[in-house]
Amino acid sequence: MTELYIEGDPIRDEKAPEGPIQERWDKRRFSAKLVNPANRRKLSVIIVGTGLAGASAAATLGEAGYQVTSFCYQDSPRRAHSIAAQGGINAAKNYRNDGDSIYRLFYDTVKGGDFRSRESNVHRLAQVSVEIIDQCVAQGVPFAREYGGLLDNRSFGGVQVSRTFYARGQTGQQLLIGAYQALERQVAAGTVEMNTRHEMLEVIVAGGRARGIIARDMVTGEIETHFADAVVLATGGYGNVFYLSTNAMGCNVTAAWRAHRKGALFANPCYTQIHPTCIPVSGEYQSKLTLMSESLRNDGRIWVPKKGGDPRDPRDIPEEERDYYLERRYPAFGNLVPRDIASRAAKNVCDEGRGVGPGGLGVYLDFADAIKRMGRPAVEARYGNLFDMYQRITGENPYEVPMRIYPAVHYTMGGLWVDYDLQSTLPGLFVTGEANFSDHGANRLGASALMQGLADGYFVLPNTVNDYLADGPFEKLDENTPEAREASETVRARIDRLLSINGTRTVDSFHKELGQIMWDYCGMERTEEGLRKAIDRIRELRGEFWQNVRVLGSNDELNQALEKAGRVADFFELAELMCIDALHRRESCGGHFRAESQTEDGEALRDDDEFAYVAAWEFAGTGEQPVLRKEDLEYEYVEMKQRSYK
Amino acid sequence: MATERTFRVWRGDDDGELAEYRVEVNEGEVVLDVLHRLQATQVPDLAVRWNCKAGKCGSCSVEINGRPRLSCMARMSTFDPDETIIVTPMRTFPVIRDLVCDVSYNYQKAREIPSFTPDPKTEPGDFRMYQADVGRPQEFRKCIECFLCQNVCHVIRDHEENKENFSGPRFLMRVAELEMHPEDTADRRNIAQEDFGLGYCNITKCCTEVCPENIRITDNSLIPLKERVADRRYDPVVWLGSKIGLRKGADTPMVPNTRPGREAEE
Repeated sequence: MTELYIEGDPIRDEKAPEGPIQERWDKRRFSAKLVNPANRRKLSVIIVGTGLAGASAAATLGEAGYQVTSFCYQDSPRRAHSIAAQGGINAAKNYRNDGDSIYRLFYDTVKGGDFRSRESNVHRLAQVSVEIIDQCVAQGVPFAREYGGLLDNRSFGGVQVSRTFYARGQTGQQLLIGAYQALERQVAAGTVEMNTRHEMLEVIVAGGRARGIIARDMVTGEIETHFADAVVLATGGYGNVFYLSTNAMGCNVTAAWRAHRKGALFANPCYTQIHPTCIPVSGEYQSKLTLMSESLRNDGRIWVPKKGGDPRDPRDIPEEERDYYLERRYPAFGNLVPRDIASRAAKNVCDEGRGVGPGGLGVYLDFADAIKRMGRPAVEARYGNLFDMYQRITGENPYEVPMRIYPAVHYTMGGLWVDYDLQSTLPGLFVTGEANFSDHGANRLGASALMQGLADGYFVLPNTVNDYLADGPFEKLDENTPEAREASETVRARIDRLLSINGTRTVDSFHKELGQIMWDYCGMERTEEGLRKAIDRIRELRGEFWQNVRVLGSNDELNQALEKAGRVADFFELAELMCIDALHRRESCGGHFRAESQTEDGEALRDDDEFAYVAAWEFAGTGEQPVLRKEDLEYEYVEMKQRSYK
Repeated sequence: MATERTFRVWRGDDDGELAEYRVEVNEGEVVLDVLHRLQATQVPDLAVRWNCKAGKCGSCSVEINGRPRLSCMARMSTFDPDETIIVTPMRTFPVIRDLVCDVSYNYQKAREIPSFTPDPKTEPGDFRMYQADVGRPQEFRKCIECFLCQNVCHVIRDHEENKENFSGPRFLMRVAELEMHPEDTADRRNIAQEDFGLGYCNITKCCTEVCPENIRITDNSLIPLKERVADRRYDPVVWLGSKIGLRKGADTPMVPNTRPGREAEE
């Protein structure tokens, strides 16, 4: 296997202090260098991305007094895909008095991540979670209230306490409106300059530091150069490498990948999360999948007919001929097992030929019992908007017929490697939210993505970026600085090349084929043979892309094919690295399931002796062997054991 | 169950024209799926803005046979089998290209509204609020900012000159949402009338009719806001009370420096 990569020096996080885990974050905040308010005005920060992580960081740093320039490729920060998160946000408030604590949230997250995350980071996340809720309430976020007027909670997959705060099924939307309002307030106050409809295409590295970005104005095509003392990427995940995913169509890896090419390590790319409750694929020309909130598993029961190919209406199948397979196999957690387990179980029953719906790729999510138990109004109050959405998309009424669901790619735990300060290996380049790898290990628990994005943006980054900026402002650069000119020329050359190929295949057809390869060989179940095949096919397809892609139009206009072509080109390189990462990790853990490594019951089997590390990859050139740098994971506070949800 | 259908789609900018295509349509598809097929098979450079394809991001607003709709939620099965489908960009905003508009007018208006202003004396966790009070403003926070309501509102659809002084239903609803929050301490009633043009609205309910989230914009936000404004500005008792200094609390001004030309005027 060594022909695919080279092993380099190990790497470690130097920023997390030693000592008791509860004190580490306070210690770090106290030891970090500060910047006095008068000096902050002289320091500039570029923030790319305006979802929860980016908008909260921009608002907070702007309010602190730094000069912030913010970028997003959408019309408005309000369009970021954080909007689509439905279920909720975790916080260890223990309002229910059901045994929750910061330690338990920390423990659940480490265990849920299958012991592949960093203890210090996760503990900090659990600590900060408590503050997020107060912050959001102060912004007017309409969290659900219980009868006494206090904040309500519900439980979410993979845990046994109720710690999830929610705003009907629109939690992401409500939190984003809060962050967006905070951001717009800073825009109006003049501390944040907002650049919408701009796509970042390159990072400028000068004097060993990240000093700016090259962005394309997506309306006029102008290639702009922007400088700052530090750059923050809050650009989300790379799930769209699979073509069909629940991510928004615009989600892409380009910003992160460009930074990777300039020296930032990319960690654990093979850790992808496949979400168990999505609306199944319906046709050949489908461009996107839709997620149904996992909170549905709280009251819905998942089942398939005991016999495959049962043609009956699900309502006519008697109780004893149904297989509630999650409740049967995991009596303690039942339908609330973590996402990776629920997804794989669905895949298994469908592979056995017991799937339902067109193509046999679906399982039932049934609310008949819940409606009988709580009454339809109660179900409506809790899940009404999700049911409406399902009905709008499928044309079926879930109050009457069980929903059909199937797993789909949803979240990527991997991302740019960062230290405890959220700084990548490229000095001055910080990475927050889904774009970094830090907190979720090999599998993310439900309602933790909103928590992490906001924790990074509101509380972590504003307390660590100062340690770096205290040494600034750095040398002034302009467009004639050789590094900036080179970066801008690279971008132009790449655009010209894409436009000049003038082949016969559309960008989408390449993307779709790439996605199929990834889904088949690097999806829910991976094997050595399959991954090797995938790597060969990706390389072949990438070659064909650069020979035969057809991108019409020019650079000086709104050109969506051109935008997409650049993104797909980066997906090719990422896809190869994902497969190499998946191939080298000859164990199963969390979202990464290697068929060769499973227990007798078909559960993921880790190999802690050999693989208890973060795989951080260094870029060595397109098509060259990447360099593997290991960060060993040590567990002082949580004992590593085989996950069991029985 | 594929059938062939006629689509007429806007090409070009404000001076563009409709182009006609015959295109395959399958069962269960929405208009956006068909636009994608057009892109994939016939017109690779057709500009269509979309993002989430779940009716949540608000990017794919267009006019379909003259009606403002989200193209990702407009099921083909709701049209007659031989109906020609005409897809045009939203008329109220400048067209950048094909079906993509420049909606920055709206973001400008958003910035003018003073944000949520909780009582600084409330400690975290202290504040109690009943679900009914949460639910009322939350209805307005379902808004996905697709701007179909802004597009259909005749105050600006047919009168470019009103744009400066009229925020449109979306943002008057935002004002109502903040005003209805029990913990909010700002008073935006005066600017709602003076700066955001609430008085232009004559309750034709077009906004409510096109809302993809089924928010009852007129009944639940605009009319109650009008009532609150009437109470603040025209109730003789209130007028007298503020004249003799019995009523405290100042009007909150529009966010400074957000309306171009405003400072020069004053």
